[in-house]
Amino acid sequence: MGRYSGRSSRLILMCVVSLVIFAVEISVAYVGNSLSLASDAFAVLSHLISMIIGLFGVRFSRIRWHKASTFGFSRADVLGAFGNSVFATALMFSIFVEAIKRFINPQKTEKVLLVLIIGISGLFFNVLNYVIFMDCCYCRAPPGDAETGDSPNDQKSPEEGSVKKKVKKSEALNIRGVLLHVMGDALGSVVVVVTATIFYVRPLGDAACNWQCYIDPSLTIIMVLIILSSAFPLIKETSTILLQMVPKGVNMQVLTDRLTCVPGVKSLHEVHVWELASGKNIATLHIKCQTPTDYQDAAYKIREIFHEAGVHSVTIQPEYVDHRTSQLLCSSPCISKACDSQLCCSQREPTRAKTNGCMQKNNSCISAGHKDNGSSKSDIEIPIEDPAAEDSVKKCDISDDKSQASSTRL
Amino acid sequence: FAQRTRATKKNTFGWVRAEVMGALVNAVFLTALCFTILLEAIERFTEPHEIQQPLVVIAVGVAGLIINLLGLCLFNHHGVGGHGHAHGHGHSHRQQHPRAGTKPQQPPGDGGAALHRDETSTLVENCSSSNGVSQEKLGDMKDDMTDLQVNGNAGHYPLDEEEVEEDSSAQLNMRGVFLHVFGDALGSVIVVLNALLFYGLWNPCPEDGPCFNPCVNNHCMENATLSQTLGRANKSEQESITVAGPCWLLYLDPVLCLIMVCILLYTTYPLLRESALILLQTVPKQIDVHSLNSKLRTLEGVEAIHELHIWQLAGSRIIGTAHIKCPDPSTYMMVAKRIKEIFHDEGIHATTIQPEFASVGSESGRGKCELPCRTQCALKQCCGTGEDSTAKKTEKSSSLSISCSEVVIEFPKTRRTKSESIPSVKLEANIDQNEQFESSL
Repeated sequence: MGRYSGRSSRLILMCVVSLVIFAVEISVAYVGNSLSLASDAFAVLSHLISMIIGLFGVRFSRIRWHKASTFGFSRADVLGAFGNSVFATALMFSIFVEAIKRFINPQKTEKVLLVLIIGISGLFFNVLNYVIFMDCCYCRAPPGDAETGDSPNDQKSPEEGSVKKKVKKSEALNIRGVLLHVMGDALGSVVVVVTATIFYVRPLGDAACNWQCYIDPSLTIIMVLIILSSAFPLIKETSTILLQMVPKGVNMQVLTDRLTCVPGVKSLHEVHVWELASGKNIATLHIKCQTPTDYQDAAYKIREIFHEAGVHSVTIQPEYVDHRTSQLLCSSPCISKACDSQLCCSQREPTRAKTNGCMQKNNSCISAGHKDNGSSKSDIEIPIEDPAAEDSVKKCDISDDKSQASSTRL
Repeated sequence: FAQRTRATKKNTFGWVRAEVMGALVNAVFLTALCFTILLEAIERFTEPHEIQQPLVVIAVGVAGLIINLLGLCLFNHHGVGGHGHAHGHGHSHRQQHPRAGTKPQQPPGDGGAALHRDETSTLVENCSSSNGVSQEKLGDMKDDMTDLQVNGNAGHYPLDEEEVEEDSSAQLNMRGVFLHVFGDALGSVIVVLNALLFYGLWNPCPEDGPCFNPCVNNHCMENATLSQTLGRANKSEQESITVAGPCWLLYLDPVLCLIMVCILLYTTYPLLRESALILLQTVPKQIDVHSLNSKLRTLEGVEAIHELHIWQLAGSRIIGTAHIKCPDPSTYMMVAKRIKEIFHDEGIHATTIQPEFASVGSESGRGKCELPCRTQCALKQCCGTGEDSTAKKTEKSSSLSISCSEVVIEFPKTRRTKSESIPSVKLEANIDQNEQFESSL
């Protein structure tokens, strides 16, 4: 695992520098009673944590298989980015509360010269961090991984432009998180410098607080808002992955329509598509077919459909039907119905199963297939009692209807 | 809300995972706030402040404590269904099987495994145990329904499954809330304690008259020296100079605060860890993938297994997928049920098993997937470089024309040499077509 090139040692250096900056800034902030400097210190801290998480996340995500996690730890940087954003949000929240307190009870900044000096040096270090970071992690040609900084010579095939971009994108998520914080730092330091300059130029001495005392909290609040507004999209994106949502480029409706059109597939259910980490989509589904030959033929076509949708890891479970079983419910949920509450998706609820509604003769896909939404009350039902379709649709007997208490209707 | 949602267009699993996410957000937020308070406490060490108006603080602290205790009782009551059964887990789990009407086999390793749990895994246990309890109820009612056939006859599910599904993946988030309330209660206790002590023992500086406050020495140095000079000047009035009361009281506040932060972090950490592990798609703690793998491999009719993945969706819902390589479809029929049983015994109830039939002529390809994504989409697969996957640079059969740009995976050299000797993978489409299978799994 150890390919310590300049990149990770630079990251470590930046971490150490950030730690020092944080300690210095926070102490001066308390001495000098400057809120904006304290908020800048917090921003530096969250930047630091994001770098640490980035370091570990990238390291972890290279583990492909581990007995504790069959998927490896490729989700680590997604989780890290999410946790870091939430942490930053919480810190900003506490700063916000402090700023409100300062509005009610304004305090002057003391030891202005010290604050000014620290502010300027903080700004300088932030810009330096930014430069170093951009140089080491972003501006180099995108390699196979973020940490080791491979040069493009290692790539063998020239037609990898699009792949490179996607590989880069998969690490970009956490790097974006880090970048986000770097920008916030720079902004914070600017705010500190502005506030301190005002106090320096027009010192208050022992006088009561005038308008000058309100600059500090107002600028701080603006800075908090800016940082939060850039943290939220990251939270949104990572939670899409963590909640096992359908990845953005995949349209389930279209996908299931195409899947039901595959010949040999009588119906399908338990279709799940989710994203493991950026770019890696995984799907599982159960199909009902008549014979194993059907299954084999259908499996290939199903994979093709998924491949075009961008899903490359597919697991297809065939279930062989006879006349007794229903078309739509799973033939093999688990060994008994008693496990229902522990299934990922309860079998007794109206499932999103689809039958093959394709007219085989015409080669056109009239999807008279029928799906049920979860909320049985507001069912969007595509009426299937379409006489033209009914003949050629391979459906189970209507006698199965009465055995289905739920609203799974054919 | 998250319990009752079902598969939607945007999320094929429903929103079941929202609880785990909520717990994580809770835990991280709490950690961040604890950190802020820690910084504040450190500042107080260097610059101690008196508590102004201790009576008001006591009053508010007591009020807060009462409210927190109420909340504590409320959540404790809610969560007691899960917590109370933590010890009964092994027992109830073993009982599940005869009740559910399947073959009365005792899950071999389960009983022992059930007992070796530590505190942090009680969340998962609670789920299974509470389901175990509920399944006993279920079993009673469904004893006459034959569950031996695995194909779920679309039978009637009794309606009280509704309430049985008080799934304890909700308990993860409820536990998060419980911890919050507990921390608050503890905090209120500390506040009240601190304010009481301060009120009782502190000797404040009276507003009039000179006063020497030896504790505060940073900003008030000028006041201190002033009062000292005053004191020296008027020696006769030295008795009237009051010295502000015992200094250690001022440090009590930050010390208690530090203690509380430590307690909060300590109670939050298990929650954080567990939700993080679930979100990372790790194998749940009680399942040993290696032993599961070997159990599956030793089944007859199973030649090889790959792409075995076990992960936890939320709470007790564990999902597994596997690709099983079998010699031919008829053996697969027989073995599929056993496979499901093995999974069931481990507590994995939602499985997707993909059978692969060894293509004629590829004897050496035991370990690899017969149906990977067609060309080298390996980097985009969930596990491109799993234990037994191979790397092939250019293997495009003409009949399988899915264009996918080539990706070279870096492999250690040993793998590369192995891969070159393996023939190309072809989807075997012409197996015996005469076989008709009537049975269903």
